[in-house]
Amino acid sequence: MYFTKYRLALSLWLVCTPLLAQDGLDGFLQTQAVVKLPISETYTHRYQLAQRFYVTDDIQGFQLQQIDLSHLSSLKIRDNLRLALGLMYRFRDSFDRFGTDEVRLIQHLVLSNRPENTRFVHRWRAEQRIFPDGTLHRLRYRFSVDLPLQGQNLNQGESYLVAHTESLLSIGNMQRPQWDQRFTLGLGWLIGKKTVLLNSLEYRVENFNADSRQRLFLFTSLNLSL
Amino acid sequence: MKYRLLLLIGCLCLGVTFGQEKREWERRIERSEFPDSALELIIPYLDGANKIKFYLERDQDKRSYEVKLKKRRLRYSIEFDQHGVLEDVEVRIREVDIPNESFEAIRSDLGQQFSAYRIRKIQQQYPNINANPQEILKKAFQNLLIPELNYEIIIAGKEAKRYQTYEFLYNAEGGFLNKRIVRPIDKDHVLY
Repeated sequence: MYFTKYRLALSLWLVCTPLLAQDGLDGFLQTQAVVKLPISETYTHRYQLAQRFYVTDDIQGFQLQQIDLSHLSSLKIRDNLRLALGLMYRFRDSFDRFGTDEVRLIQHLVLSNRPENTRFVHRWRAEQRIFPDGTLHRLRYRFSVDLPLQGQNLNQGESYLVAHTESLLSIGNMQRPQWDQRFTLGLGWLIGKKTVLLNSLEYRVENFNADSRQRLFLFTSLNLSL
Repeated sequence: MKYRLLLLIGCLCLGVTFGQEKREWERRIERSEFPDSALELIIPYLDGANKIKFYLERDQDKRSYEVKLKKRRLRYSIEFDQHGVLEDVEVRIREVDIPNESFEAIRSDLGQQFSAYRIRKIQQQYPNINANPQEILKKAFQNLLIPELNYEIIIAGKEAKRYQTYEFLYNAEGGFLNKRIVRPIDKDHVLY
């Protein structure tokens, strides 16, 4: 049963790889590791390391584009409401000659509701993206749905489905206002008592109000709670 | 290419960590796995119902079966023990469905226990106390207010600066019967 799930994830990956070579569609692979550290009953820290690769034009391999290091401090205001502040540094200058490093400040609010087995989550996020050339402000709203696949609650060894849709607005002196839209579908497993493996596929339409670009991301994330 | 291989190997290796710890769990099962005696009792009530789901719950050495369904816009949960004997029937209701006097008594009790609380779920419970299970099912599906019924309320309560999820049980008059801590339903497996 467990290997069937891995076959599903593997199939997803193998199917997506040819899609990444389509004209007008840029392909990326992002792997990340997240460690969540509860400081108290209501306050947690989250540390994340992410690597992003882009698919080369000849689809022969992946090229490292950037490495992100981030921290998020989250406070539980109510049982279904969280406020978080975060900081991220993106190392890109060393890997991508067209890109620059970035410092990002993050603030977000998360509201969740779980009437039955399915959970609905709203996330409002504001980011200040600081580049050497200037600062970009980005506002984001994400609506998510997740549900366990084997029962009413997620138990160890079981899988879950998660889907997001997110709207982003980037504003700054550096560029004209830019609207982006993202759609994500993921399959995750609670592989250990506090360890989650998540594979997801994300389709992005960037700057759809002007000169739109399409991007396809394949995410693999290992999340560990201490 | 080599990164793809490394990632694949990583994913496959993680598979060997499955099932090495004893755990309490519940899972969805097929209708055919449900006890026959229990199925016989509920079959008349499956007519016209939708979202019918069968579950097996295991709690250390104890096993129980549950069927959930939606009928006439009401959500029912019918629980049986491992031998297929009816334990109780629960119907999901809202605050307005509880008689005023009973609800005031409940609110008063909760107000004394918590500095702040949020009601997440209320269920009207018809326990099988030495009664005919067919009678219990009939009363539950008619949504009758009987003296033997209980109110099961899931609360997120704040005490000493932290939130904890509790299950409270009150009788039909709003008198306190039982309180227990429940495993948090909202797990942080998805990072938001």
